[in-house]
Amino acid sequence: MRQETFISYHGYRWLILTVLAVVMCSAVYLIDDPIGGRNGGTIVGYTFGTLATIGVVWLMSYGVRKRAYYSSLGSVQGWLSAHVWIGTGLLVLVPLHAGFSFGWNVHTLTFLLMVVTIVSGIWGVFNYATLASRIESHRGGGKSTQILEHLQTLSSDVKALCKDKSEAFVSVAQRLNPPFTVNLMMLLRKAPIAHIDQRVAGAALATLPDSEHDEALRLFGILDQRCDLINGLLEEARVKALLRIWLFIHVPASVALCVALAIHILSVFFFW
Amino acid sequence: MKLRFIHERISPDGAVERTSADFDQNEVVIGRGGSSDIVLSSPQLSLVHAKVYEEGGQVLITEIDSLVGLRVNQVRVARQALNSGDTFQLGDLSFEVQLSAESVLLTLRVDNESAVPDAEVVARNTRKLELDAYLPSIRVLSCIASIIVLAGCFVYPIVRGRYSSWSSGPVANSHRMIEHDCQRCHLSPFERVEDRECLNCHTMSDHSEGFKEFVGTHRDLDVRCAECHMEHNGDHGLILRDSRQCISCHAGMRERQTGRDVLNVASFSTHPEFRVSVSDSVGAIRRVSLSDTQNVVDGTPIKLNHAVHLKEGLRGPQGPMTLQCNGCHQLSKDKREMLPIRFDTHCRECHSLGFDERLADSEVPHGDVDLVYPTLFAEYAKLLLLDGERGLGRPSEAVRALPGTGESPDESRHLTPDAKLAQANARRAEEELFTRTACFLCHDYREKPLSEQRSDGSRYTITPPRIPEVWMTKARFDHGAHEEVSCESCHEKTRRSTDTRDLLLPSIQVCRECHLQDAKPGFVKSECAQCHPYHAALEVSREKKQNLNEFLHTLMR
Repeated sequence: MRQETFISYHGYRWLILTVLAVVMCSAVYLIDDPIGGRNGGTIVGYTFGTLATIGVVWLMSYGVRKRAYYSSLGSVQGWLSAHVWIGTGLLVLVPLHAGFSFGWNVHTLTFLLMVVTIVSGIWGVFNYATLASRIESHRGGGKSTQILEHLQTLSSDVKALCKDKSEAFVSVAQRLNPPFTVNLMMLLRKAPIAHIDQRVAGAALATLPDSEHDEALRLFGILDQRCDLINGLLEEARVKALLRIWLFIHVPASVALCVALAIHILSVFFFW
Repeated sequence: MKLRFIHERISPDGAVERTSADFDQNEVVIGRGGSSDIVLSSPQLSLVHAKVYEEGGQVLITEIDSLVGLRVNQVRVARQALNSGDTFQLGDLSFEVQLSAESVLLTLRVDNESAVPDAEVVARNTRKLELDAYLPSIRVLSCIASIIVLAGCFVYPIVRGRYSSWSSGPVANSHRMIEHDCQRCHLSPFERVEDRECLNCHTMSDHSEGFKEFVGTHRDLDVRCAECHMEHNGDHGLILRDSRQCISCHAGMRERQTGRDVLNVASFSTHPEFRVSVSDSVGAIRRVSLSDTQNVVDGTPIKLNHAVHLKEGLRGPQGPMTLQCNGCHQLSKDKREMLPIRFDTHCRECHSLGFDERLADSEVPHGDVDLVYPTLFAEYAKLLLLDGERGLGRPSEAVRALPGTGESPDESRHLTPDAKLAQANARRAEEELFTRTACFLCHDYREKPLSEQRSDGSRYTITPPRIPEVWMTKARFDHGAHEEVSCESCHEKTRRSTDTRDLLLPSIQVCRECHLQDAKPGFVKSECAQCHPYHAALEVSREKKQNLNEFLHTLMR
């Protein structure tokens, strides 16, 4: 049996309710033919606008609910499911409210901020659906700090191994030691460090005296292990970054949306 | 398989702490999870990482599920037979293998001295792996985004007084000049635009007298200008085209305005027959339906036989000619309305106002009957002076007796014989014109009562024709828009009309052949406002007119 997620919560309850609501609103929109054309200022327009405003305020309240650990007001998973599906439904409801008329003004800005919020949220949902399961399987247990500690240990082992060895040995160790460097692009893009392949290892061995071949094989083993650890770390960091980066768009856009929404409502009635 | 596991921990001071566990089973699982046989807390171990087992007399190790994998003698493998003296690594743990005939000995040594990780470096690298290290915090980003929106869309408009970003939509083209001057119409915040703001610039007539009264008695109804003229809706809303707005009242107008001459109109399909404004015998104007055949007559006191005028080969000044409708009924320059018929323009070419063959080049003037007799007298006097009595014969009749008295007015007692001769000829010609020929052909005439007659003035007067400029005063028909349609397509009876009282206007049924209120293939969608103009713009009073430069200066402030 498949595990229930926030997407499929209670047999897609919130998806079904949202689809029903959107279909109903669309039907009302199509049936309604107000004098002067469909826009936000008709009875149906005001109704849809009010519904959308309530929707936005409620969606924002999810941030409060998920931190209210002792709240008994429904499960967080249920709230998240409703948050995702109702939020997606607003992509249809708001254009219906506006009568699909857009321009260079605060009203359309409000809509655009809502679109950015919702699309980034959908991106987040997609990331969770495709990446979340990979954290556990890739981690091999433990926290990144402990893996980093082991990386340092391996570095110490490499240094110890280089002690009293020829310059060629030290040079090989330095050249083949996989670097541990991280930047933003590496966190967002999959780019694993290549392992030491047979050809490279063979070429390196050829530069070393025979007496150091056994130690060199040990060195390759350690460097290979370092490579695995770094790749594991980077992959996990990438997954974690992708599971979080959408929030850097979703949350600021949603807060800005609230501000724009308030200005939208204020301006509409200021110049009634 | 018997397996002994020894776990040695060497402290920094060299002391060795040793624990051991013995197993006698087919396979021994090593991992971090509780289900493993040898449970170790290394972070790099998976829950079930690898297992050691005996197969075919050999001791083997195989990886189960891990990220860091399994290494035997530093070489990564998935499965490997173990020999005595081998070392295998599971993540950061290194196991020594000793095999004897009876058992397997696994020794795990953890030398705390061997690696003392630099906590600072680890912390720095841990931080590097987190997205937050490269971006501002979500809270900061949220604040920045909110401040940008607040500053751009709220503070800036208020401080600079530029509210274009608050506009709910484009204004109508005719209002573009004041588009940025929101307060010109929106005088009070949070209050709807009142009529006085519109009337500041626009001088308008009332919709109708009835409407004015109706609004006065129904204060609860929202009948502001802006209710119909929806601004910020592009050019679509400012001039109302939607008939439903009209019908919302006019469908029940009879009930709303009892006692008034109004009809209910619920749609163009059920629109009552057109009503025309006709004058009755005493000149009073009343509206009569075209379906009321008894009363719908053209009472205009002018005679015209359309059938005669439209005959082919009429005798014209240049020979036979055939008149067309637009020979007389001509459109104004803007092609919106018909120009009034003028004698000089439309009739004189065929209808001469000449009065005497001896004065072939002379005609009496049209329009002012009081000029007819003086003109005639002057012309005959001139003829007398030029040709003497030879040219001007005696009038065939004596001056007529005054009606009712049997006596002639002694109007000529002070005149010379020549003048009397000219006068007699003029009076004879006047009578001929008014009662039998030119004037009589088109107009009704009346002989003035004696009290109004003057010796040097006309004895007759013409009943003013009073031809209405438009017959349907409550509607406007755009002849220009129908220019491609022949006149007789709509004015069907014209060619057969011999009675001057025939009103040759088309019925609403003729319009319905092409026009329909609802959009339907094959028909022109027609709204009420297409034919019914209301509260037409009036000329702006002198006091309201503005200097152009001042006006523009005000707009640019």
